[in-house]
Amino acid sequence: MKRILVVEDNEKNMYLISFIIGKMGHEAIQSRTGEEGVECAARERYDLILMDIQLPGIDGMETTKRIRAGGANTDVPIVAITSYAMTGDRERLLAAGCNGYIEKPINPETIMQEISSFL
Amino acid sequence: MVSIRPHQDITGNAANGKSGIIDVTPEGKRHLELFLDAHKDQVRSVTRVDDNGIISYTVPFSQSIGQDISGQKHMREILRRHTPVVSDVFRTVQGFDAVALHVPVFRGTTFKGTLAVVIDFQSLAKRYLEVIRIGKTGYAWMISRDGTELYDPVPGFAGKSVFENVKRYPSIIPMVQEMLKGRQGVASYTFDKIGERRIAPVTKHAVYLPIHMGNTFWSIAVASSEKEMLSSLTSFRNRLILIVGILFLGGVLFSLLAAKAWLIVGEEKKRRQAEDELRSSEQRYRYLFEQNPAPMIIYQKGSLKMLAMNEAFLKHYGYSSSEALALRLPDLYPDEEKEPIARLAERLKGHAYVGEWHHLKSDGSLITIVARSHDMEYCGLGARIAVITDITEMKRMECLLRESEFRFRESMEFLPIPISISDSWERTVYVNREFTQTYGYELNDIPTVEVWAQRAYPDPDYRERVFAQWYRDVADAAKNGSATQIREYRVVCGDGGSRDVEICMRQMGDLRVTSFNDVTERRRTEEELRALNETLDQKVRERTSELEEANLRLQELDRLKSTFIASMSHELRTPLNSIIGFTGILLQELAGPLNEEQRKQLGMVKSSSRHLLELVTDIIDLSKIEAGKLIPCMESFDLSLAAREALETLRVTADRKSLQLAVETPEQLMMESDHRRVLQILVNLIGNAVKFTEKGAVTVNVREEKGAVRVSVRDSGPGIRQEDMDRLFRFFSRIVSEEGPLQEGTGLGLYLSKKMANLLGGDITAESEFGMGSVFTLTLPLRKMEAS
Repeated sequence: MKRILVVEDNEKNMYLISFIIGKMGHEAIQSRTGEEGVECAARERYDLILMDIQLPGIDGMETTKRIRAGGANTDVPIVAITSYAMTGDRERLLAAGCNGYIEKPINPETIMQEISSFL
Repeated sequence: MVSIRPHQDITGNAANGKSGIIDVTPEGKRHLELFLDAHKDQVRSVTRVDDNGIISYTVPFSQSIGQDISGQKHMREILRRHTPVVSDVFRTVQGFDAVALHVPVFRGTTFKGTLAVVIDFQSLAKRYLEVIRIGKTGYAWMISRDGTELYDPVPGFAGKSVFENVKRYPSIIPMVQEMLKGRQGVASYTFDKIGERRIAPVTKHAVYLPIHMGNTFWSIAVASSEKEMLSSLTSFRNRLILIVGILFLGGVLFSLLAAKAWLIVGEEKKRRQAEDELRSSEQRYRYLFEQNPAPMIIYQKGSLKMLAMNEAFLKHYGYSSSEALALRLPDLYPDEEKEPIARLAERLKGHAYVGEWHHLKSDGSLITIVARSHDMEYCGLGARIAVITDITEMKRMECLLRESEFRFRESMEFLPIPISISDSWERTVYVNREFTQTYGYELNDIPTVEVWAQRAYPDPDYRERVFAQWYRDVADAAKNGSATQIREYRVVCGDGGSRDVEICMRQMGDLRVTSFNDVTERRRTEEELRALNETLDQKVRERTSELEEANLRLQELDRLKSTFIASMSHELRTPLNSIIGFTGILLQELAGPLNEEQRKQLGMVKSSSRHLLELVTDIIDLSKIEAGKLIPCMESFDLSLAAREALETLRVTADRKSLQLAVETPEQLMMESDHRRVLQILVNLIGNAVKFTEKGAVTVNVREEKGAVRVSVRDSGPGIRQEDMDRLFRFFSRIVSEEGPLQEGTGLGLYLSKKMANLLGGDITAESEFGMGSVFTLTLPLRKMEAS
């Protein structure tokens, strides 16, 4: 069983993602804001981080940069969850330190494949 | 330095009779005898010596022939060096003191002995040295290099060693030593005895110098007693003093005489100068009279007869000199003036101006003149000289001037501009009618500029300012030679009313001409216009600010719209994403198994949600394009691959309808554009084709044409009616096909695709024939173009 940090502000999306992770037999650690995500990441190491990009407060990209800047998860794979990603966004995500991205709306099949590929 | 060459003629002769002398032939011997004969007062013998130093021939002492003289000092020298030598003085066997001169004899370059002459030295010395005597006691003496006295006037000294001779006079020895070194110089010595006889000490001064003669030299000294030299010098001095004294006296005398003479000459010169001056002054005055450009006459007092007249007079009046001299003064005047002028002339004394009169010229024409005259003496007679000025022309000019002034005044008078004229003392000399009419002042009312200023500018402060400005302007105008700058002043009129006046002055000679242009009406009109303009301006400003406000409101609205759409995109999509996500989970049966009906209904939920999401996404894209916020992200990619990818996304749908999907592309076609947007367009076009085609095939063709890429999507669908073609790319327009079922769609797809194609510098065109299918073609530039 792997431990996956999910940073997502929307309650329903968080439920959806956690549900799928649970179905895959892994544990989802939930973080509602970017700041909380950075704190969690500073405290302990995870096997994977799923990062919503549109967050209140600091956004997903900034959160990724902070996680990468120091703490227990500087080299842990981070997969961005983004709606309506554009070509430019994708490049910016990779530049910020993300290892991959999943587009919304979330297709259970796609997200499961993506998670498996990083674990 | 002196050098003597005794018997040069012998050597010369020797050269002439060379062959005979060399070989000592009889002819040579005779030659030598002849030579001796010719010079026997000096030359005692001539000798030929052979190259061994043996006398081969000699005259006249023939007994010496065959004698060997090679042992003699000078012989040794010449035998060795082959150069001319002079012997020391020696006592000959004949018993006289002699010197011998040997010259070498050569045949070709071979030395053949010498030729020698022997000279009686005493006779030679006597002949030359005895004459070198200075005063009574001066004398010359000579010594040879070895110290033998060759000549000395003291009897018995010659021929002896000099040191022996002078040993009693030690003061001479240093000089002798210098002489023997061959030096030249001066010396003094003293002696107090001659022979054994003591005498009073005598100081002598001597000059000595060597005489070089080839191998040897003789030194000659010339001495003179100091006393004698001094006595001669003293006598010379005394004589000199006498001469100087006489010269001095003579000089003084001469100076006195010269001074007197000079004075006399000066007087004479001055007198002559004065005479000259007088003459030239007379000349000048005559010239002044004769050549004066003004006509001048001299007439006798009393008789009034003409005595003289100048060129100018003759020329001006047309008389000849003789004609003029025959006239009397009154003859020059017309009849009515003859009597008065005669009477006047009698009374004239000293300098007088006689005013205006008339003269007759020789041709009878009348001229107006003025004349000045004064007394003078002319050739001993009492006379008057008169200078005449012809003022006829001046009078005529004056008349013309008056006329022109009148005309000027007339034109000023009727000029429609108020004008005043003042003179250089600031007195008003003229105002025209317009001035009086406009401002109510007559010339009498404003006799001076000062009075004018007081009346026109009654307020003292204002007047002060006007004056300050005015005089500045006048000074500037004078500097530039122009009129003063036109300035506006407020002038109070004669009736107490005030007017706005533009005043400008121009200096004309001594006069100042000033114009007073009344601009009161103009100013009033301008003021009204200005007020009107201001009202207009105010209205324009109000309107503008209203418009600006409206514009600001519009901008705000636009911003609100953009914000609304941006937030809507998020707010709308988040729940849709949830719906789609959870539907996906349910359909995947991750939450539990589904029955067939549930699966079917959930499929509808998912399909509707996706449709809604597409709609929302399209609307957001559109709003972005229209707001100019959609910035293409250019990159290089393979269009062939993109076309195949787009086709693949629709394969499932196509398969469901059993449609054939075909793609005709080159292996690779790299282009530069926004990959994601191109893909979006292609998916849209192919999607449309698949959607509207029930059977047959959809073919995608990719090609490059003239720097552009073209992607054609051909379908075998129902085609489009010609009248619908125009509406094809419109916003929310959907073509309703009567035959086919109403197709699901946003009505935005084609419109958005075309917009995007335009944004990327390309276009989408459609060709269709109703019932025969359609071809949609996307054209894009191969390479990125500058922002379109």
